[in-house]
Amino acid sequence: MSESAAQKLKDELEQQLSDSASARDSYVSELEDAAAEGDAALESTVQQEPAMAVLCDKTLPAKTRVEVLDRLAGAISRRDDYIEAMLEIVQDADDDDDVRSAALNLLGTAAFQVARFRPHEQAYLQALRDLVSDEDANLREAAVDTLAVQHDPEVQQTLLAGLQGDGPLPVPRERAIQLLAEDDHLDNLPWLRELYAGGSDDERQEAVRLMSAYPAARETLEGVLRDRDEATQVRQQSAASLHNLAPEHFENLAKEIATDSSDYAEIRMVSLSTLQHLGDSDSVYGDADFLSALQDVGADESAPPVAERARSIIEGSPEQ
Amino acid sequence: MRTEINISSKDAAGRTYLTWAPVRATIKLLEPASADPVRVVLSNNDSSRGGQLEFGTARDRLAPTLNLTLPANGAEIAFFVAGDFPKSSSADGDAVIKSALAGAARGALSTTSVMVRVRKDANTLSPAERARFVTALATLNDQGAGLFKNFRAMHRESAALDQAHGAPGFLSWHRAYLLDLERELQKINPSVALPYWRFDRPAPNIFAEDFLGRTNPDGFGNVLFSSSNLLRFWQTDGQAGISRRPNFNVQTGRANVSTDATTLLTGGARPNAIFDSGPGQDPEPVTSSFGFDEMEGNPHGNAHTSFQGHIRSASTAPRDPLFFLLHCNVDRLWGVWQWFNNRFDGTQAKTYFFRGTAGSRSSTDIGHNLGDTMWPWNNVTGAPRPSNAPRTPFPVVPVAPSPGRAPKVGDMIDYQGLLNANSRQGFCYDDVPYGIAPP
Repeated sequence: MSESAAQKLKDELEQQLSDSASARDSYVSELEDAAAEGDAALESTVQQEPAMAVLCDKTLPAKTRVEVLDRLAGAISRRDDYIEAMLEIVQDADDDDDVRSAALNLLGTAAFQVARFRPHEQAYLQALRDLVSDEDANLREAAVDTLAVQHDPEVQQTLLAGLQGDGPLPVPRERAIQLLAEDDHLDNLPWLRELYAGGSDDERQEAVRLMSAYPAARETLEGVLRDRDEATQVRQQSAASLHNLAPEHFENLAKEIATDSSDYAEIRMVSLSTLQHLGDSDSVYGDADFLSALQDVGADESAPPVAERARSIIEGSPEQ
Repeated sequence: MRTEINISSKDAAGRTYLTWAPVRATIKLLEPASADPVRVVLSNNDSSRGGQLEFGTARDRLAPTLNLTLPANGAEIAFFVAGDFPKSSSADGDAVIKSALAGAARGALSTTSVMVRVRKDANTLSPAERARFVTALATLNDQGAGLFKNFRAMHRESAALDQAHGAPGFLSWHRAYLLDLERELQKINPSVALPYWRFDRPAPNIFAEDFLGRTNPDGFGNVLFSSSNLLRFWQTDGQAGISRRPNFNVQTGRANVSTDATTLLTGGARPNAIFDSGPGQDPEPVTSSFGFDEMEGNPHGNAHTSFQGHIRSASTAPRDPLFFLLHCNVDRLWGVWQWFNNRFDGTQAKTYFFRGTAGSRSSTDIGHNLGDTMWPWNNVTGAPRPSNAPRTPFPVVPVAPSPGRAPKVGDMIDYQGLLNANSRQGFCYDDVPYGIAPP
């Protein structure tokens, strides 16, 4: 590398850092002013910790407090008092929802620093569980999402009860099914069938994706893959799900679809890609009838990407 | 008459992979026309395309051409070769060394194809580069049955996360984690390098159907893939697919993170920038910064929490392939900080505060001191380490001598082999040069 290239890079970086330092200094000055304008009860905090003063001052504009939260993340997990302040804000239903939401996000960030965050782990979990019944829909959904992805048994119980009509659902029914299905150790197949039967294209796709954990869903998935009236994205997902669930079964069906020129190109492409990259080589290249049909597909230029993919599979044959 | 070049960063199949770090090479004359020495020039075969190289007889003085005199008896002459920053390869073997007679207008005594293999901004990858990466990753996953499951297991349980998060070894551990994964991907396709997600900029090409998948913003949070994208078969923990719902507009916006410049300022301005302030410090989180390792919060943590779904929580985050691009950018930021502040010498407090081993005076948690080996590659199990070791030993490859089978925290610092050529790890970034920034 030429010395001038290194010099240029260093000069650019130095300028950016200088600009950033100026912006930070000017923000700190604004923060001190904002803290001084706020609640006099926080006066002693204003002197030493303007950020904490602004954060805890509900009389200040939400935007000002959210900006503090946006700038806090760096060292936040080292300060127990800040974590505790954020837990209080999150659980304070009278506080501004944007501030609560930003505080919840920041707690999520702090939780990533696992060892440092451990003393607050239980309080954070409890705060998330409390938010499941919060009045604010966004906070509710964020909490349910975070808990469901981690297979929290309490939120699973709440979702299940809601789906069975035994309690309120904290999120829309379709989302409740989606989030409950994050844990495939639960018997979610009936809910996923419900989602598939009545959902939009996106919801049916999710139902099909999540069915891949349930062997009893095999026939449903096969039916979806064969259904030419079904949306392309749903059929594509069913190919992936069926392949995950029953690879050999899928391969037979994929060969059939891939060589059927009357089917949609996108579905044939998924079938061919899967056979090429994830299929059993003996099953693909040991099937003379399939290879013969593939020759015809490769010569059929009515669907060029499909033909190209077919030729690529033939070229990849161990015999070539 | 011809020449033969041998470069000391070949893989098992004899293909050569270079980064910005100079590596030793030799050239010798074969079938000489006379008994006289021959003057040759090394250069790039095509300076208008492909990866570009530079050469020199000393590691710290390289240029796009090099004149050498080769003895007629076939004795080897040593030189150094490296990728010419920032001109990286986009395909295997697209950087070609030409050896020609000095003064000859045309003709080559030999050509040697290599790849300048660097980690690039994922938003700028070519379709072919994207496809190679995605296919290798999907192959490693093998619908949940492949080696990827061990990488997922390394970042799940609480005891495992203690080895990787919330303490100063965070950056070293993840540097090793990424390199381990990258080496496995390179066994599948050696031209693959991990790309990084510049989360402080819009990166719409990453969140596309032919790459890491597109989430329909008006839909149900589904991650959609193109028909040829094998990530549609992604499976972790027995479950198909990825759960990922961005909290920002991935087409036009950026994650809720600090900018690169703000991140590089944590730890202070050069020449006094520090990695970590050690125990007993109590930083005021807005007005002060007490070490570069604060970046574990922002931008690292903030990038994770810019989504709902798997990537939002430490125990589930590696279930989303985006995790590895996010962390690659975290590692790149450390690389930029090291280059800008000259922080490659682990024996210096400003480079790494906890320079002992666990249990020694002024040490911190096990796995986070400079002399500690890192789990799981060290195969040490049982409290306070986790109960099992999903990946051990660290993969050793012929293209780079470091970090060895059981890397220590300190082994990950001099990753380009700046202070010790044997520390070179065979990876680099498209915007982080070899060496240190000019004064």
